[in-house]
Amino acid sequence: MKSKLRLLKEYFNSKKEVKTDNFKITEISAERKGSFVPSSAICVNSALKQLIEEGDIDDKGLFLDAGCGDGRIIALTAGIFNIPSLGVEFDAEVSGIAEKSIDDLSTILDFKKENAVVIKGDFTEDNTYEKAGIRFENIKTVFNYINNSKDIAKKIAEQSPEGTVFLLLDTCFIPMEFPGLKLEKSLKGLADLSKTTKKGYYDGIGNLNLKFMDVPYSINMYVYRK
Amino acid sequence: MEQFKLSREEFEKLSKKKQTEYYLEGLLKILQTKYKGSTIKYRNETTKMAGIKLEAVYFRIDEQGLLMIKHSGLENMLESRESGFSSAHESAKEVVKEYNLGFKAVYGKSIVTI
Repeated sequence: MKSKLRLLKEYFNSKKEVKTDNFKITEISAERKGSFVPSSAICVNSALKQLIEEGDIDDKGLFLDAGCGDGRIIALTAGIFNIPSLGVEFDAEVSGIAEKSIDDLSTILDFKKENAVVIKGDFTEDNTYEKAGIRFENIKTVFNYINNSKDIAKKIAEQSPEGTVFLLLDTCFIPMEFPGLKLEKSLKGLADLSKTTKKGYYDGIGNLNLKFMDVPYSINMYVYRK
Repeated sequence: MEQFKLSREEFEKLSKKKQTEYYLEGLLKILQTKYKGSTIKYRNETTKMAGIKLEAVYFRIDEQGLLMIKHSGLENMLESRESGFSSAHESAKEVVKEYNLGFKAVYGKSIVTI
């Protein structure tokens, strides 16, 4: 039986035929508030698993993906970790794709669509959240993948209650500093410790024994707390 | 992470070449001190290091403290594009020489000794 992570990965891999020009890194402009670069679902999955086990994040509290792209991370949080999730995406076309992804994956991964809500809007503005009847202050965990990170960090520092967690997936091995937020953990160097075949390795989600090794690499998850 | 003294802002002001040197030198120190004798296979996060597109990086430090690096991107080239190997191999040698970190590196199936 295929794992949910594998099903999720296969779903998004099967979408390669979608016009991908919109998914490439785009210049930040007034019209486009950022760029959509898909997050590594495997890395985020491993990080969430560790952070929940170690009590760093509240898996019952509302999770926000600020700049949710095609919805893969909220599909992961809602569909695999059963965390009530919210994704905000500025780009109309991409947010439409996210809605469709959640629609499809709620059946594939067997979760309630209400547990993964997509909103089209600007994640720095309160009225974006009000559209879904949510107050930004009620969000327990905010995730961002180097997409206007300073703006969302500033919003957390100014508005969120003490204890709110900011998870930043970042390609740089030196973490950023955000006023009002404290860096609590750095998850670096997701390594495969299992003895897998080459096929298993490239397959990406075989029987791998993945662990963060505290070694700087191209993908890192930084955990900040207000 | 004591090996990395620069702040993010200071690091981002460096040239790409200096950034790569800084990264590799710090990484080497960490691997030599923390993971001597272990083998770590890194996930297939596509990245660019010193101008070479990598699909994965394997690190291993043997009992003599020797660090070996294998780029699976180059290994793929070896297997699927024999004709493209020599230029890729030459590029790898240039990178290793350019960054001269004082260790032995394995690129693909060939060993480049520094």
